Amino acid sequence: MPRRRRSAVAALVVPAAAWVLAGALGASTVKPAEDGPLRSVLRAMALAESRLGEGEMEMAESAYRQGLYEGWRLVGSLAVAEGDDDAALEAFRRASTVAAGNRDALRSLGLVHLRLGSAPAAVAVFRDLVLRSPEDVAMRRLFSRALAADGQAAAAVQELEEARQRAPEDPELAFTLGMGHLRLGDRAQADALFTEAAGSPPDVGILVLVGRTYRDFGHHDAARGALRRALELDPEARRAHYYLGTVELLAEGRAGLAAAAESLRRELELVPDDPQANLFLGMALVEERRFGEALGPLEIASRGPDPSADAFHFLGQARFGLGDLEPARGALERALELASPTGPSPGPPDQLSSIHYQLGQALRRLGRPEEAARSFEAAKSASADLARDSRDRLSRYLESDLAGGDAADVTSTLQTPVASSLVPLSDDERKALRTEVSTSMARAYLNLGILATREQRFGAAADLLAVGSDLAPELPGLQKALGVALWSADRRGEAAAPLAKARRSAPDDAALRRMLALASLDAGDPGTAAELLEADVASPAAGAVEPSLGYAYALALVRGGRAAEAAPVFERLLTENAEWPELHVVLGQAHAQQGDFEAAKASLGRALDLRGDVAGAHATLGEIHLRRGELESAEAALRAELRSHPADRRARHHLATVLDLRGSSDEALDLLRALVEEDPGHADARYLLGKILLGSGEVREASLHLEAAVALTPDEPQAHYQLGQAYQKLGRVDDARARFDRFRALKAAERGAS
Amino acid sequence: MRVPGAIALAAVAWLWTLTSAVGVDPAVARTAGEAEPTPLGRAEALERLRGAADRGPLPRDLAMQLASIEMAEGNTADAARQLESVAERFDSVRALLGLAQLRSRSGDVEGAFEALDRARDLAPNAEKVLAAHARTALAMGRPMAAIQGLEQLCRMHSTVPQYPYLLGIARLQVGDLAGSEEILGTAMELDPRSVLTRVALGLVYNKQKRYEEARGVLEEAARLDPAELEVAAALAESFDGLGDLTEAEALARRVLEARPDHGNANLVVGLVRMKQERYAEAKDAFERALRAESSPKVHYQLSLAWARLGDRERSQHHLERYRASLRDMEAHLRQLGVGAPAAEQGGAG
Repeated sequence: MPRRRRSAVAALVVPAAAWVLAGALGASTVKPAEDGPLRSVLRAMALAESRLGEGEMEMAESAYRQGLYEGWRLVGSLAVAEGDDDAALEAFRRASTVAAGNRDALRSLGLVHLRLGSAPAAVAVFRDLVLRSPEDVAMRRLFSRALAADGQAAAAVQELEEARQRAPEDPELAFTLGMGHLRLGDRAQADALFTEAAGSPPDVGILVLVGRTYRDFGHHDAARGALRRALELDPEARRAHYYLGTVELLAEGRAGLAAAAESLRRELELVPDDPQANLFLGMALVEERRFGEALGPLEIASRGPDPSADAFHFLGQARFGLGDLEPARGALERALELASPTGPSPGPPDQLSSIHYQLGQALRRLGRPEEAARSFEAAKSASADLARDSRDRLSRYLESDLAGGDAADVTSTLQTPVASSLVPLSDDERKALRTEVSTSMARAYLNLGILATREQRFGAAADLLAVGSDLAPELPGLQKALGVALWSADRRGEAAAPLAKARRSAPDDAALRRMLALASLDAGDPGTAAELLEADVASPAAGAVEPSLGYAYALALVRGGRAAEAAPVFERLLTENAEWPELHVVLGQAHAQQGDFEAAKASLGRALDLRGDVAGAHATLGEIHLRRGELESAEAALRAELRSHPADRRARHHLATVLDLRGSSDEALDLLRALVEEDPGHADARYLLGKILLGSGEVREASLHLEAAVALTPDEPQAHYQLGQAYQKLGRVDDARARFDRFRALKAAERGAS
Repeated sequence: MRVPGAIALAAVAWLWTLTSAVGVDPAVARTAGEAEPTPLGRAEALERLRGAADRGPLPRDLAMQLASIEMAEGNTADAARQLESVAERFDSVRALLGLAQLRSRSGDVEGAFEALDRARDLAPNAEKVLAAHARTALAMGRPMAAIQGLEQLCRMHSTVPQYPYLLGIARLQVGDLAGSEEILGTAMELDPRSVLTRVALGLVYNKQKRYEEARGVLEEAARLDPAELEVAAALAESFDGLGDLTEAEALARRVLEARPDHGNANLVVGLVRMKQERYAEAKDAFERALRAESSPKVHYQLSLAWARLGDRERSQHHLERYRASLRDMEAHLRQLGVGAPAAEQGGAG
């Protein structure tokens, strides 16, 4: 496969990269931490830097990548700990592409997909992992779970059957497979597998799990059987009473409240502070209007580490029922804080409405009618069905308890030792950890980028450095390295931003200033380019003008509409560089800008004599012909430009304009469509495309392009006018009127200005 | 709008001046993998370093320097000895890469692969190591060994067109045609002007008997590089599949004039001769093809040719080889988690 041709620019910039490398490596002193979540990251980074010291570039690269792998996994774990699944997804995705071995990162990625409900994505991830390690039974189990979540119940069971062939003695697998059969409606198979999973004598913990699973699939009698058997074997079996209570509620509804409360009480005899059991019991007792008894459990539930809005909501109801109005108000206000859309656990509108409503009642009875009215109003605006009562809340809570099983499993599977160690950290500690890991990773990206730059793989270097810049933009040397890499990768326009940032910390760096000037010119910012080059060319202290600098300065002036100021610079340049075709092109453009078309044509002709395919000469001639209405000559000149420089967007747009004027709308449309596809932000192309389409009756498509043109150039009156025409044809009278009004206002402003 | 090249050059020239003025710290240069320039002439350095090496193992940098000079002097065995010593004593990937290169140049591909295996164990995430390992595996005709590394490279360096191209070749070699087509599409997106990617895609289409599509993509390749013989060879196979024997033979002949041992071109000549019922000539062409590359298709065609020539024993032998190749292929595909290969027999069956 042919390698991308190495440009002369690339060849010359290498010393700059070496210089950057010197700076970066000179500052490197990574100390591996003894302990803590950063340990594996820092250890890999320290190893990388020691390999650099030994001249082992490949080993250094490999260790840096390992450090990045660990770093991204840590970032992902931080996001998991904070419940930011999108950030976790991105971090694990990056981890999975930064190093050769990526099994753990992919596993986490699949689990986050599962947690987010993106079952097809999870299936794809786990399928790949199982393919790579068919003997990994745990992975097959996860794959099966993803398949089940994706609605592929039979495939999920098939996957587990295959896993079971590899681990026939694995009770967990037998249990999971039983669950799969239950999902498929095969109760007999499930019973047999659950019996096998529980073993003989049965394992109490598995029996409780089996009971919960039967409950989840609606087999209430079987659930009772398994849970009671567990209690026979161990009267203190954890969660058995709890699940029995929930079975009663699910199976019997309101009629099961008393039995449920009894079971939950027995669970609490074993674990008095269990927040979930207390909450359920409190809810059931409120539902039975046994407010006094409900208080104790609800107080405990509301004191838990992450109390739910429900705990305070029901506590408020209980207090209200007992006539303790002030404490009821306090509890309900706390419930509102927790359940509000910006709170820690935003609740659905009907819950919010219900809390507002009950708060309103409490406030009214407290003799605060105005506040009560506001609460009743808020209850209405939450558009809730006020007929819903605490029973609905209890049912909903039960449903979430059922659905929560899998999600909780996924979350616990995501809790690796490192991830678990992050959970107890405070927000500030997590923030500090994130900063530390980001800085370490940015440093690794910086050094990897520099290694790539040294090998003249500038595109790869720029990509690596850009990631580093996202992580820690202020890392010394990073912006400069990124700017140099982008420049060398022929992405000079993109180089302007990092070079500008680099210059902030080195304002006296002349090389940086000049490079930034040229990058700004490429990025379409001739004003900045001219300003930066002025010191080299225009100031009296500048002395003899470096031709290329003078040229760039003149070009920036012409492109910035300051052709008159460019004239003396050209004079000086032409004295010494009369054979430089590009110079004559810019001179021609300067003349054309000032309306001196004959002088412009002479300069452009000279440029073409010197080099027939010099960029911009034919295009400028074409523009001159266009401005003079010489359409045939304009077309010929623009076509000539595009033969040598087919990518020139300005020439393509001008040719489309000429073709439209000459009645060749079809070719113009083709040109413009390609141009817009390539550069959706090309406002002129959008405008012309919309205008031509409007003329040919393609009003709907025209309106889309004209809307884009208006968005891109909101102060361009013609775009508003054409869009108004399009709206009028589409029958959107008010929109059309608004566009015409805007058109008139802009025109009036123009007249005022002139 | 772009800044003309002249300015770019000038701008970089300032940087050149600047960096020359700043200079690169020799310690840093050494850190960055460049041998410190020796103040001695090469011959004197060689003599002194050899003398030091005779007295005992040299420190890493000096041993690497000696290896480099020995290599430049053409003393590959001495260079290899130094590199082996560094690799052994310091677990040096740099030395192992050098060793692999030396062994590969001297035709010891197995030895090169062994060194690269060790390098991969020491630096499993290094692009250069993974790429050299995968290329060597491919060159040794061990595509399964190449696939894992190439998949990793495609993931880690998703903008490098070479890796999906090589992965496409590896998948093609193990008969995973759908997987090959998919990844070659990625390679094409990354490098739309690649001739070799088009050739590989044409070969995939040929194997799938999608001859019209093969012709389309290969004719594009021919427009991009009319002199590339692989294009002509693959196109010859497409024309044979399309029944245009004259064009197929003309293209195959063109390839064989330059490379008489070209596998695919000989195969096409054989296929054409089979259709012309000139079985002895067909058999000769297939045998030449087989010497270049063992493929199920060639074995199958040889079994047919020998059968037509009345030699049942040889026919049976090649049929068995064909079936064994298919079984191997199936095993590879199972490992890759894809379906069974299409029986690849060729057009004269």
